[in-house]
Amino acid sequence: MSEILQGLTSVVTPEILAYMFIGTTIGIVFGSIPGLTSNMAVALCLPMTFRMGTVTGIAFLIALYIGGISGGLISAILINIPGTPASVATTFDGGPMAKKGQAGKALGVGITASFIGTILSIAALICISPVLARFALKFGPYELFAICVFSLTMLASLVSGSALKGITCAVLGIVCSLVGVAPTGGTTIRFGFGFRQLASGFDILPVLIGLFAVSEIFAAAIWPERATDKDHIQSYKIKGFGFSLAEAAGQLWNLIRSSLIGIGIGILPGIGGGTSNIIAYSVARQSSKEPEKFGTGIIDGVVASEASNNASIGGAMIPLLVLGIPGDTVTAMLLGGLVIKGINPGPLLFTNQAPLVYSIFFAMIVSSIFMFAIMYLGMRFFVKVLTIPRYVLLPVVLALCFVGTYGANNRIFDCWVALAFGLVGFAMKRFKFPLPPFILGFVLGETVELNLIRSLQYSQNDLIGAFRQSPIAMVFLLIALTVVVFSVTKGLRGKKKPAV
Amino acid sequence: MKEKRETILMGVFFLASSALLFVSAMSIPAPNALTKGGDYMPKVMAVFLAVCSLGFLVTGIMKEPDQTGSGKAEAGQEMGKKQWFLFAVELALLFSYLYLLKTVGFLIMTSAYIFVQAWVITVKEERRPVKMAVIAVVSTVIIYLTFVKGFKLLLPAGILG
Repeated sequence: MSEILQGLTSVVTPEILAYMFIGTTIGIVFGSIPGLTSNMAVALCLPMTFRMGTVTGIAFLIALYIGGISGGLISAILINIPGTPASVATTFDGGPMAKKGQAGKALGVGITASFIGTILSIAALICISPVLARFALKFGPYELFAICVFSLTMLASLVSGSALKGITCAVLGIVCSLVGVAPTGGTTIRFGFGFRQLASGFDILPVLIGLFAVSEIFAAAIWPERATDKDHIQSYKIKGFGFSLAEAAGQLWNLIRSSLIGIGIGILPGIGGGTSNIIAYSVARQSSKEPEKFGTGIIDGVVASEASNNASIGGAMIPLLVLGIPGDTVTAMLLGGLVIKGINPGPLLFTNQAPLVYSIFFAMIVSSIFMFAIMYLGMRFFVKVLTIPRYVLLPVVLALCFVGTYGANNRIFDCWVALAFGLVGFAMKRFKFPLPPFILGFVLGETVELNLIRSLQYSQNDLIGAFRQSPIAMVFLLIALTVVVFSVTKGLRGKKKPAV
Repeated sequence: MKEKRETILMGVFFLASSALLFVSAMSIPAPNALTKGGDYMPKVMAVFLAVCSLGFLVTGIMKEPDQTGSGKAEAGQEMGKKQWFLFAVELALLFSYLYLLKTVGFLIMTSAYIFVQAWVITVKEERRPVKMAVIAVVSTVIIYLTFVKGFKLLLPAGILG
């Protein structure tokens, strides 16, 4: 009980509340502007947390995450372009509702569904994670290695259109994580190319800034029409919450079901709101008595999409806190933020630093409340922000990114690394190689290597025999193998079909 | 035909990269024959990358010349001569910004960078030099004050220092 109180009191301070308010607002702004994402918001603000206290920094990043995912609905409804991939399905009904003059209602429904989805997922996080953490305490190198491989293959095979490209990206991500001194010992700098700055490998910040922000500026420079396009913003008016009590009651089951889908998908490594909103929308349509009305502008579609994408937040936090394995790209950055603060997420976190875990839970609840209030009360401001042209925003954001990258270690070298990864990110986007498996590979690379080497040491180089002794590891590896075989076969079958 | 060639070229590129990775890993000192050291994981990854590259080569060779698929760039995103030129301009711009940042200083270089960058990513009809210059200077000063005064970061002072 005292740990819960400690967690609560460490979050409810004027300083942290102010940072969370700012973080939620920045997150919503980034989420609402197409081209700027919650990934970019977290990457951009990560260096700011270096000078903050542990709880302040983490609460700030969580606020950015929740704001970023939620903000996507504004542009999805008002300009029919999703602000983030997590709001793609919101455009299906949110856009038509706005065209029918019901933009205020769509926004009200979307904000409320986002809030309830987040709160339900936090409840799931609070209930599931301590139990899972107690179980995960028994995990050794075999299990940890197998879970990492499982996460990487799941993400690589299921998220991208091509399993081969996804797996290649995961491998390339691990290769980039190999730079620097090996975690298994020794003093040789691997692939340092004479740069002593690479002794501890690439910092996560320049890698993320490069992949997300610098690559975007290359695309904007090459196709300037994209940065100059003016979006037509629909007018809106929110009365009360924007919907009636009867309408809310009619959406209760849709809300709960979509939230459960979001939580379930969020828990699966690497798959977050970007996938859950589409699946929840499809399920809502299939189980509706009037499926033909979906896509014409009904609240069911907005509720399904927004409840599920926000519910993925709590779901994605479960593997991050319990196993130290990020559930999606943003949680991969949160992992970076936690590690920078000297915190190693994993089952021991729940026993050794329980007040911090409760602080994270409370920070998520407070951020959700902020998100709800800020989006309702500040809608006028966010709509104004949407009118700022991207050719103004992008250069300023990129300058901010370079400042943050430089400020982390006070060295230009990191900015050069960001530029190099910007070129990598641009090439990957150009040839449709997915970024998430690359990032997860980069983040998990060290854990994979460490646990593989330890597994080999424990088993005296008999890895197959070792995994036979660990049923958990065996199950995860078999699932991973099945997913890869299934995805590759599906891809090959798809390619054999004649082009129409 | 273009996509078939692209896929095969990707396979060749990844195969060459895996070979380079493996050869480079050979130069990392290994502890002894029984214990795995810092050279082990790069070698394993080189093998995985080689397997992936074979996947690209096989799918590329098997692909019908006129088949459309995931590797093709979206409409309006093709890389023509003009796009390659703009890519080179952008690269030169970022390179110059980073190269001169420490010598010239944050305030001057960032103002100049934001102005030129906004110019580069705006279509001709929308370019407003005065507005862009004001945005560049004001946003640079705000960034500077936020980070230097607010977050106590040290930014390159350059010739103004």
